[in-house]
Amino acid sequence: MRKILREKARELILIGVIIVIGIIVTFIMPAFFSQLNIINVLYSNAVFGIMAMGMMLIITTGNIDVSVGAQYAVSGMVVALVARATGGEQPLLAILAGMGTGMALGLMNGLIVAKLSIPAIVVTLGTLNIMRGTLNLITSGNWIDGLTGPFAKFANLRLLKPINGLGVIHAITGGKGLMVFALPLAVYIWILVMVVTYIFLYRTGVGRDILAVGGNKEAARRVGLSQTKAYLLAFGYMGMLAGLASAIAASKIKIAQPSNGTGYEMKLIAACVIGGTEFSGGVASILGTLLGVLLLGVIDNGLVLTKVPAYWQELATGVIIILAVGSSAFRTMKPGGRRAIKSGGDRK
Amino acid sequence: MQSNAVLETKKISKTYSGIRVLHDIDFSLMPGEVHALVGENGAGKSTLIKIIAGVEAPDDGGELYFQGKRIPHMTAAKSIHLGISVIYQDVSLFPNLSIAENICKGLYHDAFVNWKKINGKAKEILDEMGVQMDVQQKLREISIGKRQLVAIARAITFESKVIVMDEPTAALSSSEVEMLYNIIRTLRGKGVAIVYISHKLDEIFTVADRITVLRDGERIETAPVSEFDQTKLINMMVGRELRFVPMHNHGDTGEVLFEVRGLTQEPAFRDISFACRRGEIVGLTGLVGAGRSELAQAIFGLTHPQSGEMLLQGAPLKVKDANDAIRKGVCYLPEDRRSQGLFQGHSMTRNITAVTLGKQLKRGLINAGLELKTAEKYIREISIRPNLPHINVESLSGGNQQKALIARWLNADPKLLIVDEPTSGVDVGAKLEIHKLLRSLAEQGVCVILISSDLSEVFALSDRILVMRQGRIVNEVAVGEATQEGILQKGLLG
Ligand SMILES: Nc1ncnc2c1ncn2[C@@H]1O[C@H](COP(=O)(O)OP(=O)(O)OP(=O)(O)O)[C@@H](O)[C@H]1O
Ligand SMILES: [Mg+2]
Repeated sequence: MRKILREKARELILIGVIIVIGIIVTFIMPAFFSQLNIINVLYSNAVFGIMAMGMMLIITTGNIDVSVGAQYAVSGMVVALVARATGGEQPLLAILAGMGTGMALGLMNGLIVAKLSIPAIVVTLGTLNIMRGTLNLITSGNWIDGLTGPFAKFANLRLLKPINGLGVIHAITGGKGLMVFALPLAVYIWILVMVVTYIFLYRTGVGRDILAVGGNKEAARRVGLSQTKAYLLAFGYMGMLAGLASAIAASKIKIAQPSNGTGYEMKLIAACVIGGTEFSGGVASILGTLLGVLLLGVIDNGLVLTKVPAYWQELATGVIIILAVGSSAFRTMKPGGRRAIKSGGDRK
Repeated sequence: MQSNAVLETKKISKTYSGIRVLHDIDFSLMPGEVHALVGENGAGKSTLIKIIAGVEAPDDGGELYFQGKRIPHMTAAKSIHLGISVIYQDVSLFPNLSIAENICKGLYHDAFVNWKKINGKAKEILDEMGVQMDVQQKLREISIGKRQLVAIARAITFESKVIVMDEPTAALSSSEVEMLYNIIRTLRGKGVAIVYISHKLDEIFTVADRITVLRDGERIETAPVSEFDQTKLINMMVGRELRFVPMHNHGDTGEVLFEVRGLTQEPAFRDISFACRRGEIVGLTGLVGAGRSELAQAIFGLTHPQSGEMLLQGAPLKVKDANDAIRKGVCYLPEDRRSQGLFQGHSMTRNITAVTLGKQLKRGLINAGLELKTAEKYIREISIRPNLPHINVESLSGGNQQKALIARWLNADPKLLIVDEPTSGVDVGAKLEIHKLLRSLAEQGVCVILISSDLSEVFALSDRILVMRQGRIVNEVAVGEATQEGILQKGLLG
């Protein structure tokens, strides 16, 4: 039990913060704590939540990808093209097209970073501009709209019905029924992505190798692990998830724009950092990243509900990042007051 | 060629940016032998190992044979597959992974990780070694000594035919060293060939069957251990004669310069009191984990003790942090140079001048010329090799990295200098230089506290010895009256 407390301290703190914010917002605006709103928060953050898993993986290898927003925009346009061409009748095809496009772009990033050993931030800053530029050239900035058919419905599709058998549930939920499982398909996809990422990172050999490369590149080299493979996997996965997310977004808002996803990279990096992923690489937390996304989402939603001007949102995000990162630094301090040098000197 | 050698190199050379660090090395390794590789810092021992392990590629023309078969392009993966395990000098493990995973990384090739198998295997090997560890603990949470044991466990796990140990005892306590000897004997009995690199000659004479001496990248000699004695070995390594003289103070110590009263910092140490005179070298010894380094870090202001006081030149000494300590003349050479000392990726010069930038100013700006002069001065005085002030410290050999760090503190004009394992990984010649240096510092009025697990070093250098056990000073002896056995009996073991 104590071990869990120690290892999952950050996650517990994050849960605490989310609850506190929730209570405050509910106090001002009771509608916050309703089934509909909570599902709304999940639904509107699925896109971020999915991409955050990819960003987490990249940061875990000791890299970063600031071109995610551009990958998301490019694959979103491809998704929309396919969806429109098929009249929205082939949602799966459109989604796969988006995932393929995103993955190709991600692999390109990974290949450049691994082979030319240029820092990832420089590479992705370059590819970010190349992708956006090319996209704007081809589309002249025009968007694709008029998405219809099953494609336009899949993100919000409810596969399961609310639980509404008992009179009590009926009474409490005002006739709507208990909706814990009646979530939009987008949210289920998000959950699936987290499960897949978990299995990948903790149960598969290649996943462990990625963590190893992130933890100590030289040691990885000396046991014959391929850095190139690790980078390709991480960047490719990120791209694929950006494509998947862009399909969900296109289905939700029924439109794709070349300017989609601008600034997403910062929000994603923020969610990862809040969740405890370390820039030095080798340390990832899926639960932490999820909570990071939710925390930012709850702040967003709470500020909207309480009608606080949007500018406050950015300010609040900034403060939260510093608090979250600061609290983890605080945890590693010794009772002596100052951070003692630990043998091996690795960050906690 | 000799067909029963498990590993053989022929005319292996290696050139780094124009400098030849290995020259036509012929080296052979028999099954079931412990083959010691000795030589000064920078002689090329680690480089030879890295070539054998496929981590570095040799220059064209050299040949590498494994069990009589020529391996044209050795890679890291191939060498592991063939059964070559290396315990690297700079303990090459994954801090973010568990102990078990570190031990088994690369052993299994299942698509899905079987944690039961990994944890079980790791536990089995550690039990076999007689080491108690929670295999699911993260490596970053354990001490360097324990990490070294993990690296050893790793080599055993792979059931290798060749195990290379590059200074495996650098961070081990004496009981752990004993344990390592036992492991080595068992492995040898099973026909495993072991390459053993160390600067501690008594270790070499204890475990080795054959010795190869490298000097400046050349192989000087390979012969059975019986053909060597200590002096002959040293002369071969160094290429000249070295004379060891005890370097004690000649009885005239000055006034008390530094004093500690009742210093306590739970749980690391408690109730520590001692005084240190001008011109004196005080040895602080004890087992790993006795609280010596923690005490040093507290004096240097890295941590803050809960109670007790310190006096420097009679006045109360309060240090806020390391910066403050350096300003007040308290300096500390940390025990683990890689993580606590060096600025990796920076030049040797920058590493030397890092804490004394104030001295390198010209018109308020840091002057590269002055910095270079400082660096060159120390390169000359304590013979850091190679004589390239701008070389990246990471590419210096282990011992030379240590010398660069010592130069850093020499330049800070300390009043009190605490050196923590100052000669770990340093060759005999350089060790003598460092000892001389510390002694001459003491003669200039500096008070030196020497923390060392190497008892012979403590005896050779200290005027007084404090023995720590479990956070307390349990014994204090003047060197004249102490014997190694006495120290061991009274203090270390309790
Ligand atoms: N990557 C590199 N670039 C340039 N020079 C290097 C590099 N690696 C090693 N050297 C040089 O090669 C020489 C041999 O180094 P090596 O590490 O093999 O010495 P060593 O015998 O292991 O010494 P020590 O006992 O100090 O560990 C040294 O002079 C070192 O500076
Ligand atoms: Mg070496």
